[in-house]
Amino acid sequence: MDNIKIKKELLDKWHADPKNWKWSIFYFNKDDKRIFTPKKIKQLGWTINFGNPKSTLVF
Amino acid sequence: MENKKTILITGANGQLGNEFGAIASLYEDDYHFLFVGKQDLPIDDFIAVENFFDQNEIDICINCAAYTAVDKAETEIEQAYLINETGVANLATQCQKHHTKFIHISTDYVFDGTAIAPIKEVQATNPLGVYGASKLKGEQAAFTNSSSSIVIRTSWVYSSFGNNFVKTMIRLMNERESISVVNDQIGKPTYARDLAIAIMQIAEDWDLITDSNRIFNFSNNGNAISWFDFACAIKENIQSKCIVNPIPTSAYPTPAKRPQYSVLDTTKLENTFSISIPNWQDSLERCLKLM
Repeated sequence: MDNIKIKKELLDKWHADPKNWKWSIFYFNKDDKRIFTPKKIKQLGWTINFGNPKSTLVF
Repeated sequence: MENKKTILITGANGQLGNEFGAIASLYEDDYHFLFVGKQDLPIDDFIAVENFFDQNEIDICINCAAYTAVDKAETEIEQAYLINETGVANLATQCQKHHTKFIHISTDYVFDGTAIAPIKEVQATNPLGVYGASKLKGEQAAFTNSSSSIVIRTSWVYSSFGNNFVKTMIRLMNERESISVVNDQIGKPTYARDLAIAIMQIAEDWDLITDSNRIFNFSNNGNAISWFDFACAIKENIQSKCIVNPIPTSAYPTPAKRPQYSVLDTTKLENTFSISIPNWQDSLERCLKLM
């Protein structure tokens, strides 16, 4: 359970870090392996992690 | 090279199997994929499955193979159970023996469609026909035979590969002036590409799965719709002039009964793996661009 907690905290930290948001719109984080991530305002749905080279799969 | 994990994809010629084929190249730094169709590996043949696992070191087995002919299953009962139950049991048994993680794909047809709110993983199952019953037996076979198995239930799957509702609608809209589509079966579509990407995420974050957390729902997000609504969205996207008429299920009788309400609640998967699932409108648009 510790692993889960640590991972979730890290993902939340990344999401909240303004450095990972280009022009406050595009999520760009090479360290984050996810492709589908929440938008900056999570309730608004999904976006793409443009820092992940695999995000090209979406297009 | 030695650190690469091997992923076995069964049902490689189906919609989901083909989507794995399409995305595999971008994962090849970390994974080596083995794709098998029913000709390469008949999963209902215990010896064939045993030999295959003995000859190949597999880290993750993703079972995309299934008997999916919902109406035909009502008469081809034995065949449906052979693939959807026995085949799953054979794969799960070998996964247990070889310490392989097992990801099995299941369906909303394990439910009876009487729910009135999005269906959670824990809700009681009650399949309406042979297909759903055989898939439910498959889920049980996965858990009975392998302690490191998970089941992903999905609904209304489509892709740019294989035969599916989207392709059928496009064909009919090109051939006919008007078509009729049922408007009283409610669900959410699933783009197989999105499902494949989510499964890869699950495989990478396997440590987030707990023992009590082994069934996950997956469908695209967005509002729940009927097949008629989905057909209208397809029509709008391809700018067809075909007239789409809504009809009740009673006007389109089929040998197998369909669940009336198939909306799967995907909150658990999204929360467990911290992912956001795309809306079905966005995914439909992306899929149509590939057709």
